[in-house]
Amino acid sequence: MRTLTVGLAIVAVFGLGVLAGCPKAPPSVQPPLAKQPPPPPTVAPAATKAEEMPDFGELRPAKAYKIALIMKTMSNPFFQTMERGAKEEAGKLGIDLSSQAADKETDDEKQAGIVENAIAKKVDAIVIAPADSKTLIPALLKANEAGIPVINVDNRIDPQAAADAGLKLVTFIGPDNAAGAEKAARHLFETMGGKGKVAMLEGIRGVDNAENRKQGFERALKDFPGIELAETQSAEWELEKGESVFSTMLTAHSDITGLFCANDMMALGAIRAIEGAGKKGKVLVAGYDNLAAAQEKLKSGELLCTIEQHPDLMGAYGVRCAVALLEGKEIPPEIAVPTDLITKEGLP
Amino acid sequence: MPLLNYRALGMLVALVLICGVMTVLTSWQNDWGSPTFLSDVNLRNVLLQCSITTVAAAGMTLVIIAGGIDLSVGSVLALCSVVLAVVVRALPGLSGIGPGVLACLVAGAAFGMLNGLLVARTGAPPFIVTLGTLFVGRGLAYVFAGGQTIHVEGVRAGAFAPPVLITLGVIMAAHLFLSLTPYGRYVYATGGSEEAARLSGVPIGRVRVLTYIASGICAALGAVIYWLRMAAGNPLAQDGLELYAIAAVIVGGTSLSGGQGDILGTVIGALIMGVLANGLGLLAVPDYWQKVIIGTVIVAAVAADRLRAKWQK
Repeated sequence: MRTLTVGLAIVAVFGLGVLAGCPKAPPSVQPPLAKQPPPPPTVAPAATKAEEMPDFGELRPAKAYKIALIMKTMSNPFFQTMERGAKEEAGKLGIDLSSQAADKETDDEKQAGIVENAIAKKVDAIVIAPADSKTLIPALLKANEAGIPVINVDNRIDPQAAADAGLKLVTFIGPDNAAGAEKAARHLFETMGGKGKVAMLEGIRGVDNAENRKQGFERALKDFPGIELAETQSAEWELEKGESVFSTMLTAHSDITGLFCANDMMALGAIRAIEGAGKKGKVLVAGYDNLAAAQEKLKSGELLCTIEQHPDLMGAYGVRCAVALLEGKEIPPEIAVPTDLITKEGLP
Repeated sequence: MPLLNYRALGMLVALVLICGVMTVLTSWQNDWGSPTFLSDVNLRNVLLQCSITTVAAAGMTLVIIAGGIDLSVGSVLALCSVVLAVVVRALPGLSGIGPGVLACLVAGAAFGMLNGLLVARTGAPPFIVTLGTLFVGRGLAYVFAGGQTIHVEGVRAGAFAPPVLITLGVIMAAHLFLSLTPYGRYVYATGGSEEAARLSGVPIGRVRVLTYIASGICAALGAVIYWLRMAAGNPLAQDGLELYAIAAVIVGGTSLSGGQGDILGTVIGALIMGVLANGLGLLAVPDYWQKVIIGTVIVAAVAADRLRAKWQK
């Protein structure tokens, strides 16, 4: 008998839940009029030009806005740095920031749950580094429905999929990949004395950041007429591919003296290939990402330079844009975070 | 045989207590205003957020009562979610949804059957067999998906009722199966004492295979819920789901050594973990500490139950 009663009770709990969810009316999370944010502008699916972070002047928020920073995972140093930047900015502005992440970088369903919880908490804005560029769209649509503005940082929500689903994002704050690559390439060409043969290892072709880094490299190349491009190929971001692709290149063009790699992993692979070909010290290598392993190679001189992407600024800009938006300022649809050239001299 | 034992009743009390604590703390968080935890939106979130674990745990309960274990559920879910997305995508418009869901369920049942046959026919330990198929399933999911998330266009995802209705259906079906059908009784008999069951004519092999098929179908239904929530098929989906499902089963009072337990206890177990995760999230407890707290609650729940049983003797 008891069995039946408890069983019925549980069924009733779930059943009531379903009933509660049945009315088609949107969830009643209307913020009071006073703090109602202006409607978030739509990001056009067409490629927008990234702008510099606008100077919003001195922001004096009317109240301690509740902002949720949602990241992929806290076990990646990249996001720890992002959180630190966001916390510092929130402290300056007197904002109530709560930052959370899924256990794993890939756990998008958990991250969707965190978005849902933020909506239930009626936060004033959400700043998110999405675990997946598409699967978070349904959860973020709920934020739209609840009138909570969403700011996208780091990994870009697929603009086409967002437009198809009717998702509105305030802005995308990401690294300026082209500018970073241009910096690294220029430093490489200058160190080569403005002459000689170079090669490039690209990331996965067709992917946003890979294409942008290639553009940056090509931009720098135009300003150095003495530098000749021997070959450019994709090594798909991977260490092993970096090694095999570059050793083939070295065989074909034994006179290559400079190499730009679109990430540090491929650069580390290429450094192995150089060693294997007995050309240590004869080919200058530039990387991208400022990985810890790359810093080792900077110190030993096998790597010429790399690029730091500043996740702390992504976090800080995210918070600052959210506050500016809530204070009624205009936010550009895309904001580029500056990148830094890291060389042996700049290391601690 | 009482289907909801004292253990599960104790867990129900624990669930109510945890809900009470979350209510008070989220009210305190709002300067003693209305508690976020009890809000309409949040209660729906709780049910949504624990729907996948609950469904997987229901299948897991059958497997564990029959004396087995299924570590492959997270991988099977990922594989089924990819199958669903591939089929829906291949057919024009929304006409692929029916075939997609069907293919997804068939894939789950087939994978479950593979697990079951390997366990029943070879006599290999279920832990090892399903540990192996955990890798196989995840690998196949990557292969079919080409290593990428497959977005399914044109689906109004994120709705509340369908995932919760599926969960409710699974709970009822599994509960009725265990309590009303002869095969339900065989499941208990197989896990209780295999030898005795064999002598009394229980088709042990068939029962085993059946429980794994059920677990596979539950994982496939989990994939359907994943698709309803995320509008996608994802080879990376729900990595580690098996551990949450097993925890829900154990917290719900089902014995890991088989022969006893019930679905309703499992539901309570899943709700306890879901409420904890949701509440701690609302309270902005850092992820590391959430893990510590949830782990402690699992151990405390089982330890308290064992101590109580000892004292009763």
